[in-house]
Amino acid sequence: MSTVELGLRTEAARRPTGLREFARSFCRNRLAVIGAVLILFFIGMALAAPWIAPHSPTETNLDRRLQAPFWAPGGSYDHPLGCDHLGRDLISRIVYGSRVSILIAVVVVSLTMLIGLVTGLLAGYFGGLLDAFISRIVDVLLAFPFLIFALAVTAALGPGLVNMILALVFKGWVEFCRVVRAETMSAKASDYVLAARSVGLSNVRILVGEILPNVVPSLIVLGTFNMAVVIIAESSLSFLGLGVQPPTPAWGSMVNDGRPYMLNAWWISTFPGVAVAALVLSINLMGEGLRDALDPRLRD
Amino acid sequence: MRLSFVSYRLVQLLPVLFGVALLVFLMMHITPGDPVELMLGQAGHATEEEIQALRHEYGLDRPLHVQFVSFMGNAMRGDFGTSFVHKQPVSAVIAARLPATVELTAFALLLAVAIALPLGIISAVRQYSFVDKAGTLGALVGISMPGFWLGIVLIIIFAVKLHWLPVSGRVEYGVGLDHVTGFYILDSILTRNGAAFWSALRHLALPAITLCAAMCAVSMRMVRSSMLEVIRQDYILYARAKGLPESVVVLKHALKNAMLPTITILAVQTGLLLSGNMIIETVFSWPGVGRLAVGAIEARNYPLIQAIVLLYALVYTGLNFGADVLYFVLNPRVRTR
Repeated sequence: MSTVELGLRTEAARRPTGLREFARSFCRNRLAVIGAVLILFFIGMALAAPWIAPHSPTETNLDRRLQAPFWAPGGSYDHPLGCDHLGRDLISRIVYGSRVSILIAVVVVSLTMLIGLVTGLLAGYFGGLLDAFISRIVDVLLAFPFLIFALAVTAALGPGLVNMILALVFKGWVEFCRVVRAETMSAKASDYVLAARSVGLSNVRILVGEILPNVVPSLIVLGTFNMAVVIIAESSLSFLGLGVQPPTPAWGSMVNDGRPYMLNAWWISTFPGVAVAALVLSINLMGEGLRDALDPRLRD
Repeated sequence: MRLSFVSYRLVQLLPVLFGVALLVFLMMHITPGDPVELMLGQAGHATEEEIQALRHEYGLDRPLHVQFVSFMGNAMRGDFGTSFVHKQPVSAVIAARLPATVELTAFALLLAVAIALPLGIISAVRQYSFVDKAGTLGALVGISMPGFWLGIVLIIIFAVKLHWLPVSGRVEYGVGLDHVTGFYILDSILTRNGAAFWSALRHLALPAITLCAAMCAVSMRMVRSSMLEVIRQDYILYARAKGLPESVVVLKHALKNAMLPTITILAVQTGLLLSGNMIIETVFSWPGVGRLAVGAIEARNYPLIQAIVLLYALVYTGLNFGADVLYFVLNPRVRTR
């Protein structure tokens, strides 16, 4: 997370860049394009899961228990990545597992972004008591390491999909609020906001029309990197059994399922983790590209 | 001047710590049902009188603000009540697990610095070289791998397939290690027990590597970018123009100035290690505070959860505070302001 914190500078309003210039700059970063393509692949996989998964993700068959991947002895092409301890087809579970990770990442990041944007704009623009109030809440939430906080909230609310989303949102918005607040404060002091004020534009029009466009690039970059953080947090919580409950396949809990079988069935834990790492890596690669394209000052 | 900055930051910390305590206190009260019902629910059926009696014993029948005041008072004295599961004071339960966590975290930190520092320097000095590009990509891969999975893959490779390292635990049975401090490496040195030292080191290897992976990646990029910033300064150009050997320019003139942001980042990163150790300790059955926390959450052992969350938040805040102060003390430009 700290790469993101440090990657975002807030001193000056940046020159607006055209969409075409942005696209050209983004496409020059080959790794970022690969990341974006892989993300599209994962999203397609999540949407089309029922049609592309070769088997049911939850159907058990003890005859196929711990069946190896196709290249290993005992493996078959019918179950390319093998089967888990209940004989469920691993690749089908991985395909369906992408739904949980992507759904949670999108929901959590959208909500945290929205809350952080509104609170950050208000705190940064109006200052005073409102700013003091919001900033104290941010300070308190920042005092907790992310995972322990999410764990504690999930523990208090009980495990499950909705509670996990609540736990991640409850802590996640502060990061956005902090960045938006700082950007808003610097934009507020700029000449164009002064000009807008002097011609008598209302606060709402200044916030939405003048300040918001300047905040959006940072928000997009931070949001992208945050998707990666949320996916790791979600899979960690699922790994600890506090996330989505069985039999719904989630990558984190699949890794945990395989732990007792590390000695004789390494594939159960290994492949779902590869999926997590690949998706997170793709998001990080795309995030770097977005950051460089949206905010050229940050390039080394 | 210096003191006033530190005291100013300390005063700023007070409302934060109060808020942290309030939040941790409230967390237990947002739970559906209260802890007594949970405790008795686990034990079996209980009459309404028994529930009321127990509620009274734990003070749960008092108004919320009264409960909070007594919670704060007790917390300040290090009294977090009795762990439901261990039937021991919470503070004692945590104290017993603390050395294991500190030992693991310290080793991961050392490892991260030992890898990140040289790699970051080389990447900056030879910008866009193969080492730089490989390092940048490697760092991205490092932060993208979830810790629980990396740990399991390392176990499968190095413990299960190759038999080089042990799967879990802190030391082998039968090496006869006498416990002096609770830090096994230190204990084995103090008692001159070579076998135990070797065994403890081998047990530390995989969890420490797993824990340090993400931190190492972030730190390396930090070292690189702060070195890059410094290397472009005029005084570096001047040092080179004087004809100083490149090694002196890099290691003496540049590194000294690049260390400042790096140290701050290391402190913050150590805080993040704390989050990671819950996962890693669970994967490696490492008997530390992180695994205790996961166990406490599974058992809904609320006094223990409260104490651990509070401890994590305090250490995390303390590290950030320390980083701020250190930055202030080490940086003459900030100091003379």
